[in-house]
Amino acid sequence: MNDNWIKASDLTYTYPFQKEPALNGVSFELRRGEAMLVTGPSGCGKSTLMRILNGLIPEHFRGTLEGSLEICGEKCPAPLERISRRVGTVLQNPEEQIMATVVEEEVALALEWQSVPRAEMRKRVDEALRVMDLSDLAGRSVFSLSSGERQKCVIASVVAASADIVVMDEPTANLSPEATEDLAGIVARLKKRGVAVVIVDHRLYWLRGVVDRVLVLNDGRTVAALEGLECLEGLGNLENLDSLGLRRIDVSRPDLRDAADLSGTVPPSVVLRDLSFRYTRCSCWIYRGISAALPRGKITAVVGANGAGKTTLARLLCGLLRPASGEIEIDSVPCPPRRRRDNVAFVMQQMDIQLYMRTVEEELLFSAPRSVPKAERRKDAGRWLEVFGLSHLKDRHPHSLSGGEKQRLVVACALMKRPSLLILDEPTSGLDGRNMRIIARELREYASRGGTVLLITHDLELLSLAADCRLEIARTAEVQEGER
Amino acid sequence: MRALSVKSESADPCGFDFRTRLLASLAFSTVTIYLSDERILAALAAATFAYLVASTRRYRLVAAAYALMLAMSLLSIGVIWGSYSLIGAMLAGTKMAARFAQMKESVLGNFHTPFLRMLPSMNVMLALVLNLSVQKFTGTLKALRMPRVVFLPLLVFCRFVPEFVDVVRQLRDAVRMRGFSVSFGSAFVHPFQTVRLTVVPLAVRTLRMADNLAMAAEMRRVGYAARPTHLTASVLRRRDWLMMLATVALTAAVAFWQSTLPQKPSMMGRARPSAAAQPGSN
Amino acid sequence: MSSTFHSPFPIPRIYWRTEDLVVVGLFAALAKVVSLAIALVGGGMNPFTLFLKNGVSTALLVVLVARVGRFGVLALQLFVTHMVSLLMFGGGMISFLPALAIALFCDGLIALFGGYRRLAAVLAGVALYDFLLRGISIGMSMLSARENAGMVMMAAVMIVPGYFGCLLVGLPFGAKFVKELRHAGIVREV
Repeated sequence: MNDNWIKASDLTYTYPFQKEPALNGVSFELRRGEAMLVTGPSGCGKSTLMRILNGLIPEHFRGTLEGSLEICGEKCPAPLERISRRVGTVLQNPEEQIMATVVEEEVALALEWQSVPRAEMRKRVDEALRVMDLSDLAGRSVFSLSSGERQKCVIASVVAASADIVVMDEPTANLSPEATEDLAGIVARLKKRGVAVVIVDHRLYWLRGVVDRVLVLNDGRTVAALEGLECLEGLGNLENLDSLGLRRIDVSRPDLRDAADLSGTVPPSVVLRDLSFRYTRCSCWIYRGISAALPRGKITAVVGANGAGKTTLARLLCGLLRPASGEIEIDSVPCPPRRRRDNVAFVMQQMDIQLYMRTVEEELLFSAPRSVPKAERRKDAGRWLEVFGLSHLKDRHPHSLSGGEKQRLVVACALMKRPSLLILDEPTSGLDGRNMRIIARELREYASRGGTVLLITHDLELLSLAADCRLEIARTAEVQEGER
Repeated sequence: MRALSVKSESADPCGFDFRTRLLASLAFSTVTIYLSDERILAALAAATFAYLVASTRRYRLVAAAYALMLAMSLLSIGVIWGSYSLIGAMLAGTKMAARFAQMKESVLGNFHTPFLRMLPSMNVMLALVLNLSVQKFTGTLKALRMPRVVFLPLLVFCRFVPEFVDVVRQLRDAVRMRGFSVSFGSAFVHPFQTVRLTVVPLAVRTLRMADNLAMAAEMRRVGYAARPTHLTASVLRRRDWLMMLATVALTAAVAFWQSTLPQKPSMMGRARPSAAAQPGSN
Repeated sequence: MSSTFHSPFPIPRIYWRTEDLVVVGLFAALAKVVSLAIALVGGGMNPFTLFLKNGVSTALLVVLVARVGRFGVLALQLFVTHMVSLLMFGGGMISFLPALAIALFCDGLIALFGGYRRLAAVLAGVALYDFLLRGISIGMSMLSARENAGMVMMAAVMIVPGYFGCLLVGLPFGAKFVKELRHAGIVREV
């Protein structure tokens, strides 16, 4: 067996009942200890390629697969049982992949079902936990882990199963910049252990100096295939990076002004005065006497470590939580929770739970305040459909839209409410460059018309494109104390 | 949901395995259906109460559970009695009124036997629930060596109940932000809208989660091995075997005791004299 | 040199696919959480709570049956929910076998009258299943409170709002949602 862990030639795959192939004549090679990035706009065939590599096609997803594929020297497709011993997969949302309730049990799960003897299993689990810096969390409940820790837990289970190839699907979609950096280190460690890593992602900046190959797909076909540690820079030279819907390679944390610095020049739209909050039955305070102002017509990014209380702040501003003390003013008027719910729109991270109606148009009409006359509601809906490029989809079921389209729809629904304050929680996670830029553009447009926006995001590219200023939330000493 | 809370494995006061508790719970809750003599039911209630207190040593929780159960029982009896009184008053002067008056009397006439029948089941159930955690639940699933067709849905069930509690909370927030509330009042005024606002997003979210989870399970071949091994073993110790033996013996003893007594009149059929009371038996 | 490798090795034919089993487990968890949430909001014995709780549970059950769409899904769903109450509370042993027989009977009826592809057959099967399970509930009340006819009678009355919830909310909305989810491509045609 040579060092070619993956050898794909002319791979073409068509899903059942579809005329057009999702993947069309894709060829590439990946050696032991190498990492490859597969990128491209939404619907380009990245996920299909991932499913072929991990054996889900054709055993789990039927259809027609053509071409030739060798994984670790074995002709494919082979039974999933054999493939799964060589290829480990890390899905986009680790919480939808984790099946056990304790960290070490999750890491051991695949081994248990391979009937690995207990002593050997213990050795492999401990080693995987050590490699992933998770030894201290071995006995912890998975429910208490952060997104980054959950992802490390899934990767540890792949390491414990001694996978030769690791496929990662959008691994950074829910990670903070710090956790993303951590992940880059993990990929480097896996490469050193001789593992071949395939990373399917929209975010590119973190992979500089990490990947050895890049495969760019569009409409199921290969648009570019680059090699070498500098390959990502080569991708940056592609003229049509934007038109391909790709994200930027040179992204850094934007240097944003403090929202307080703008208070002299820009009138505030929302003011927090001496706000304190703690959850019922919890002795530690999340906030204690904080004051802040959100400038009108600006996009304010909320900055803070995981667990600092960014989403809690959003829920307080929306009137979903009541502060223990202090008050919130909107447009210079003290605003009780019930009125805040009417005046503030909140786009949550989870899209599926924000769509209820039968068509896209109905969804928008349902979002408008009942006080607005029907004719005006229709006019508004038509306008937002146009602005967000959803007009041709107005009769479609909201849940049948793609991720990017759905995200645009929930933002449009929020704007239908005519809010005094628009809050968005991770609005671009998992979105390609094209959709991310549409969201950024529309937020800027909304702010330029006097709208106030509060943006909670880990997406550095979105921050660079959209945010005007920052509101820093520090973890209170009591929160940290409480966690200890 | 207390029963499915996740907690670190704490020292179990009596150190019984989950399977031992499960057997006790199954045996006593089943045999109480057969029992009808108040003395036997009271004896069994006392024995199971001792087991509950000894095996949990969570006196406040046990007291709270008892207070709640008593309050609920009194409330139910009050509601039932009140309903019969109300219907009887509404039908006053008709033939049915007498029938409802009779029903009303029967509610207060013999409520202690069903109440006593509930106690042993409640005791063993509390002993099970107050010591339950998701880890123990999944550990038992593995130890019982269930087939894939049962194991996989049950594993998914106990892993995702806490996750769904969070999803339901998020959904409630999302609906409130659209100007609706998922409250009792709004459900009463707009029941159909309430169903749409809850069922559609929850069903979609669940089906999407199912797709990913199924792929993850397939890729790790969960449920396919004939004899999976386990990282942590759950072993039945001597005290477990002794407790199981005591459970079986006590169950058999109370069942035998009941069989020697004359059966009381019930709505299941006429009173049947016991073997001991039959003519010629002595 | 492209060659089709559509099915070069025998793909194992198993009756219950992993995704079916996962869907059954997830829906059991969801139904438990939703029932608990409704009961907490409206009070457990409130007739309207019973109406709504059963309406939502039935709508979810219709979606589940349409999604899995193979013989035995009602029986498997019942098996899982009974196993949960058995393992969590150590109860439900006596009603288990008759309830399983009812679930299998209703599965058979759905298969006989057009199969899981026909929504009308699914709705009729679920309606009958819910009705017969209520019969078992009355039977259990008769067993556990047999000395007190008044209590049993009231228990029998209390199941009526729940069944109305099934008929008036659960089945029509379940059917509507299945059509919608099929239209959206989330529930595939069986």
